[in-house]
Amino acid sequence: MSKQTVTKFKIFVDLDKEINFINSMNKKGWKLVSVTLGCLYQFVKTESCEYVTVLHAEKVDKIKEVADFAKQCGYEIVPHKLDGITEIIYLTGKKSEVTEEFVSDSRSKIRLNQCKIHSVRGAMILFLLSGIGCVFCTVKMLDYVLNTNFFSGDTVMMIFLFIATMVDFIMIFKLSRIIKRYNNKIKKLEESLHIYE
Amino acid sequence: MGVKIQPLTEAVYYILLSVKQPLHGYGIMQNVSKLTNGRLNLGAGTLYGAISNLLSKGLISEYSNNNSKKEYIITESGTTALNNELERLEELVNNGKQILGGKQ
Repeated sequence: MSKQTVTKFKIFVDLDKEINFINSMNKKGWKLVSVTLGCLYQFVKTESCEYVTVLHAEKVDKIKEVADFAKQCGYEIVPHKLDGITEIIYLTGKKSEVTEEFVSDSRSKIRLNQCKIHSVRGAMILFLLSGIGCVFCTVKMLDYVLNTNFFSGDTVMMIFLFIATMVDFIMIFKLSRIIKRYNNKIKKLEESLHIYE
Repeated sequence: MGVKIQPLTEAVYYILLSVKQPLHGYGIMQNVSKLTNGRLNLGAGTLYGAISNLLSKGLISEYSNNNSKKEYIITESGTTALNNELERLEELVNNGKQILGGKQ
């Protein structure tokens, strides 16, 4: 009998939201088996809701070592097609065999949040470059329209560029809010570190 | 003035106690949880970081490596660090009891 599978298309820039989505699928009895291009999540049906997934961010040169260690501790490594490029590692395991938190101490949590900020910054730079490109093209287009015979195709192109610019800057704003949230978490963890560790 | 003893974190203290006998990563996690009646559940990532540090400082060493399951054991320096920590903790408890009026 073939295994029942489902593929979900989702784009996340916030790693906390991503892991919440994966674990909501785990709770419905779906186990994560692969992530393709960071947006296609493939799950297989399991008999019970016994799996939990954690997402860990680590320096690229350390990822293999951490993955090997995680395997020894009962986790399965979920292959994803950006292995070796991103700093993200998806680990899944049976609830009865693994802890729901991959890192349990404040120092490691601070490091993890710093890695998360690093990955969001990567996306932010891409949107910033795209935004600058769109602004540049819009200005060039405007100059062209004002100095030549105007026709409707130019207007459509300008509207498209304007919308793209707006989307880019909205995304940059959203990403900066995510970074702010991670920074607040780090601040709280650092405060507790001074007292409790 | 007394000798300055570097305090160990709770996680490191229990990891060192666990590797008095050769033990692998998952075994350490289970042992720490058992010793603390489930109060301290080490995450695998935390354990990885702690083991890497302890290996680099020579407080533990690799005992065996079977089927990519590494076992670790405490070294002499590790045992010294553990004994120093025990002394430090005894001092903390005794001072606390004296000042707060608890039983000695």
